[in-house]
Order: sequence, then structure tokens, then C-alpha cells
Amino acid sequence: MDANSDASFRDTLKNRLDEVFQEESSDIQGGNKEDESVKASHPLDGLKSAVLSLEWEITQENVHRFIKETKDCLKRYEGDKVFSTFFQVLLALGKYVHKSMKNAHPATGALIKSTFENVTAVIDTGLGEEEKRKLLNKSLAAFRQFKASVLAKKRKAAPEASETAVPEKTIKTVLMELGNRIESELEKMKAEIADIKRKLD
Amino acid sequence: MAFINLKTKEVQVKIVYYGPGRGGKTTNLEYLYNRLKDHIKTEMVTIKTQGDRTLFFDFLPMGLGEIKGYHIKIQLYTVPGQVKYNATRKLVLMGVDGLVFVADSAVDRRKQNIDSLANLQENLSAYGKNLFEVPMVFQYNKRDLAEKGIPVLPVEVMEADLNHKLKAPAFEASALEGKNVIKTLKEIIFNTALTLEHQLV
Repeated sequence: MDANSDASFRDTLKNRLDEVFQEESSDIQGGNKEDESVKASHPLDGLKSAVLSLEWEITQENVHRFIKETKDCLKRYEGDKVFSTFFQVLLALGKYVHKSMKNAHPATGALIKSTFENVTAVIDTGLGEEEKRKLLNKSLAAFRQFKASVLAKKRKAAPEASETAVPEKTIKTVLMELGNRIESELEKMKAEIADIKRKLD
Repeated sequence: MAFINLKTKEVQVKIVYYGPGRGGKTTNLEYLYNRLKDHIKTEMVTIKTQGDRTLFFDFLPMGLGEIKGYHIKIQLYTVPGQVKYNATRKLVLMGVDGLVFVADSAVDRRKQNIDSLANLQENLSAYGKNLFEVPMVFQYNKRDLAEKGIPVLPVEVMEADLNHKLKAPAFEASALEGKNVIKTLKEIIFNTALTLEHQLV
């Protein structure tokens, strides 16, 4: 390939790439230079991704990530009482999930999501102090209600357990009795076999 | 090596996005898929684990139209970044024409970037290739983390860690925001296509 065709290939390729990609850039973002149209990043992107992962599946990795992201946010917003309280609620929920894992209350995921959505709304919309508190109170009320239902579930489960639970001593006695019975049955069988043998001889 | 069909005048160029787990390889492809839908006639194939990890690979085919009488088809692949999926990574590299190494800018991911590049070199050697032979572009992803208060590696450090010998083109990027995602792709397609030029008779 000579120098002229080299240059022609290079140019054709370059033009084609510009054509394909530039056209698309202007279609979508209204600008021609894709790398210049930088969207502002959201401060809760990491936490959002952790919330969605946790909603998808409760795994050790997802829970750890969620707790880590929540702690990062707590640190970042430690000067703001409203934000801090939101993140404390999320952290408490994260720790609860960590402890309970797959046995966590089925409403946990929804509560994490709604608390996250409320804190995002507070950050994004620049609400006044009173409105912020309203949203926070809403999240706190939901959290308290959730806590109460978790406790009620625990209380309900506890008496059932004690009703059906058998004391260890009883189990030991039953097992001993069963052992003795089997032993005596065996002795009887041995005696019977010996008797049959004798008769055959 | 690119698949060139002289009969149908079709060239298939395989570009693989490589890099450590959670570095943003899939996010790159998802962004491209959303931006370039008109050039992508098929669905993006993606297989993920729960929790957003790539289990096998992502595959995104796109057409560049006709150059020098050949229909150029670009196939974009990602590899699973997690260390344990090396067999899949190696398999995806088979027949690679161009590489995009997506490095994670987060400070705590420095070692993973270096390990992943070493792993790439090792896996390429299984096909008798090395990093100096395959066209490559570095993408220093997640630069937006700095705006969220998360420490990022200075670009000079990343260049020294990864690119001081290769001296390949490198871009700072944020795949999540789409910053320099298309620029990275344009660069790798351009450089890869140039190396194939002499094969197109």
C-alpha cells in the first residue's frame, strides 16, 4: 500500500468515526463534544448502587458495601443533623440486615429504599428546614413502626418456642429409656436365636 | 487477528475491555449501547451475577459502515474482572484485535489495577501475544469519585504504574457519566483498524 492510499484509509476511517460518534453525541446531549458534556455527579451514587444491590439480593458483600457507603455518607454529612439522622437510620437498618441476613423482616428492603429516596429528595430539591424535617419525621415514623413489628414478631415467636421446646433432661431420659428398650429386645432376640440353634443341633 | 471475509467483504474487529473487577467495564458498554443504539442492530448481551458483577462477559456488536469496500463490524467484549474467573478472561481474549484497559482511579484499587494488567499480559502470552503487539488504550475511570470526596490516584501515578513502558493513549474518564467513553472507543477503533489496514487488499 503506498503513502497516498495509507493517508486515504486513515482519513476515511477518521471521518467515518467522527460521523458515527459525533452524530450520536449531538442527538442525545445536544452537544457535539461528548467529553465536554460532563454531567454533575451525584453525592449519593455509591449509596444508591449499594441500596439497589441489597434490594437485589442480601449477601455478605452487598450488606458490607451498604454499611460502608452509609458510614461514608455519615462522615460526609456529619455537620447536618437532618442528613446524619437519615444515615443513622440507614446504618441501623444495615446492621439489622447484617445480623439477620436472609431472615430479615420482609419489609426491610422497602424501608431502606424509601429512607434512601427521602434523603435523596432532601439533598436534591434544596428543601427548607421545615420540609426537610417533615420528610425526616416520615422516615423516622416508618422506622419506629418497622422496629415495633420486628419486636412483635420476635415476641410472638418466643412463647411458641417455649411451648414446643422439650427440656434437655427429658430428651436424655427418653433416649436412655429407648436405649434400654432396644438392649432388652436385642437380648431377647439373642436368646431366641440361641434357642433355635440348640433345637437345630 | 481480525476475521476478514474476502468473499463477503466483511471485517470483524474484536475489541476487549479488560481491567479489575468493578472498574467500570460493563458501565462503558452500557453507556455505548444507550448512546449508539442506531448503529447497534442487536441487543447487548450481558450476563451478570447478582449484585451487578459480570459473570461471563458482555458482548456488543456495532457496524461502522463501508471503508475501502469492506463492511467493518466492531465487536466489543468485556471480561469478568473478578480474580476467580481467569479461564473466562483468557477465552474472551482469543482473537483480540484491540484492548481497552479500564483502570479504577480509587486509591484503594491501585494494586488491583497493577495485578489485572499483569494478568492481561499473562493471558495474552497464552496466545503468543504481548502487550506491545496489541493496540491498546488506557482509560482511567471513576475520576468523578474525587468530587464525592473519595480519594483518587493522581493520573501521573496511574501512568507510572500501568503505562510507563507501553506509552499507549490514555484518557481520564467517568463511565457512569459518559465522560470520555466514546473518545476511548474512537481511539481504540482507529488504532486497531490501522493495524489491519495492510490486510485489506
